[in-house]
Amino acid sequence: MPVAIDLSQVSVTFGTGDRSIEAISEVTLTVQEGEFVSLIGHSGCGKSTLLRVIADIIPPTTGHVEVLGVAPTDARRQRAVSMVFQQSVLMPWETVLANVRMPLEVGPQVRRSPDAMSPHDALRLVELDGFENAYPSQLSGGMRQRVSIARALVTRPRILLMDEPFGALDELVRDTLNVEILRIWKETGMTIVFVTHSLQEAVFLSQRVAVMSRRPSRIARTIHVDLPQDRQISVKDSSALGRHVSRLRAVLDEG
Amino acid sequence: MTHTNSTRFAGGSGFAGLRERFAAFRGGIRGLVMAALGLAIVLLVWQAIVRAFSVPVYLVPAPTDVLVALYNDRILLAQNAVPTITEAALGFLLGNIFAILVAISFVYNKIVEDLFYPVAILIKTIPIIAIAPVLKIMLGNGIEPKVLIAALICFFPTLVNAVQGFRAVNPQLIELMHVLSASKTQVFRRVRFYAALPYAFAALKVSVTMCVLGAIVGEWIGANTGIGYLILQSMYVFDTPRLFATIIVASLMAIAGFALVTWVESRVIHWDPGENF
Repeated sequence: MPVAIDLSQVSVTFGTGDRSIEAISEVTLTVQEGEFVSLIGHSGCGKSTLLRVIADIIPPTTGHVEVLGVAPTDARRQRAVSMVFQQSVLMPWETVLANVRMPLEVGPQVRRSPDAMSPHDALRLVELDGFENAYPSQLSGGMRQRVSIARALVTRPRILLMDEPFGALDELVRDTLNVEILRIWKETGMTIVFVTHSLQEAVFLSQRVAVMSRRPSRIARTIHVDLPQDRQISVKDSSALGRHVSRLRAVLDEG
Repeated sequence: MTHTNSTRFAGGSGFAGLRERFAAFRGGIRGLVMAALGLAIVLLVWQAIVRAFSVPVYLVPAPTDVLVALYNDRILLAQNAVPTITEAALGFLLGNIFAILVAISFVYNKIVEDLFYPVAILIKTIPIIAIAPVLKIMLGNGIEPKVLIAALICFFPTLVNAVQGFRAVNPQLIELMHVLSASKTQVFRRVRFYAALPYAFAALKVSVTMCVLGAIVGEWIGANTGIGYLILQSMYVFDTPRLFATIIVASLMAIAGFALVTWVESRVIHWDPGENF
């Protein structure tokens, strides 16, 4: 399978001299195309920074990054990468439809590629058809996050980066959206890199979970999740998932 | 403000929204009644004191004297209100448009901001009354110095608020626009513009009342028409009731301007600016 994301010896240092902080240190990680990989670790361990390096928001201080075989900047310009944040980051002055359509209206000419999805299809994919003309303030937190996922999908990205997307939602909504995102992942065949605090969520969603250590912030270990491909929400309570969670916890405690 | 917005757009949620709106309406009515009552008490006491102590009308007129002057001089007042309203309105437009353009240049280019923000602050610290004679010498006795003084008064609050507003954007939204490879202009048109609107309107509400003051100050230093001119004339001839009537007209202008800007704001800003999803 072709490689979607290739990070080798990537370090990011903020600031200079005595005040400098090394956010991530010599991270090496390869993600195959179509893979679902979660990043977990203690808060402040640089998970979000790593995601931002892939998204070309933060340049690596040292090391080499390749996204779909090209530099992150080129991948970004080709609209190959989308990002979903912890907040839904919707524009409150626009309707749901206008929010979802926005990625098609900004950026370079590549946007006019026939690949792009219609905003209506994107909303259908997150089961929000019928809410096109609503304003974000009229939606619940879970629905807003669905809108932000639809906005990320509308460009048909090959890689979806999710930065604790369900961290601010209550558990029931989170469970529903976990199942949804798995369905969308299967339907689209995207590569997903998913940052979370929840070990359960990481195991439930992923094929692989990368555990980041505290200091220095590097990838301590990567664990394969051998749960059945077709995961219902009941899998969250299974003993197989519980075993994975305990293994992850053990790795986290070491770091 | 925020209140009416959220009720209007929660329109779909039915009963709760309606009840909330009714409560807000009743609260508004109550506030108005209480304010009118307070004003009535002050006027009554004023009337009583003036009459009880037989205060001469050229010193302090009774409210009824002022009312009579308002009626008798209505044509004179209206004739003099026109130039003042024109100067104030032109100054308002000029000052605010210029302030917003400067704010945009600051947000686009940090160097421009570093160079000229201090200059703007320096101008702000000079009392407007001290600048007025200079402008009269430079621009003469026509409408120009009055418009310019009104514009100067409007300029600073809008500049400061617009700069702040253009930057009051959720940083994740900026990151998102970056991931989408949006240009600076696209970020401006799609995001910063809207983020700045609530800030800009807050400033416009201040400057709409200030521009009337600016026009009057401009008229004081040289005019033969206008509310400022009428104030001085009434003072020279000790026509105190007319002086009071003129002040009321000036105040009504400011109130009308404020109401107009508030109404436009409620049309334009249909979302709750406090929201941050």
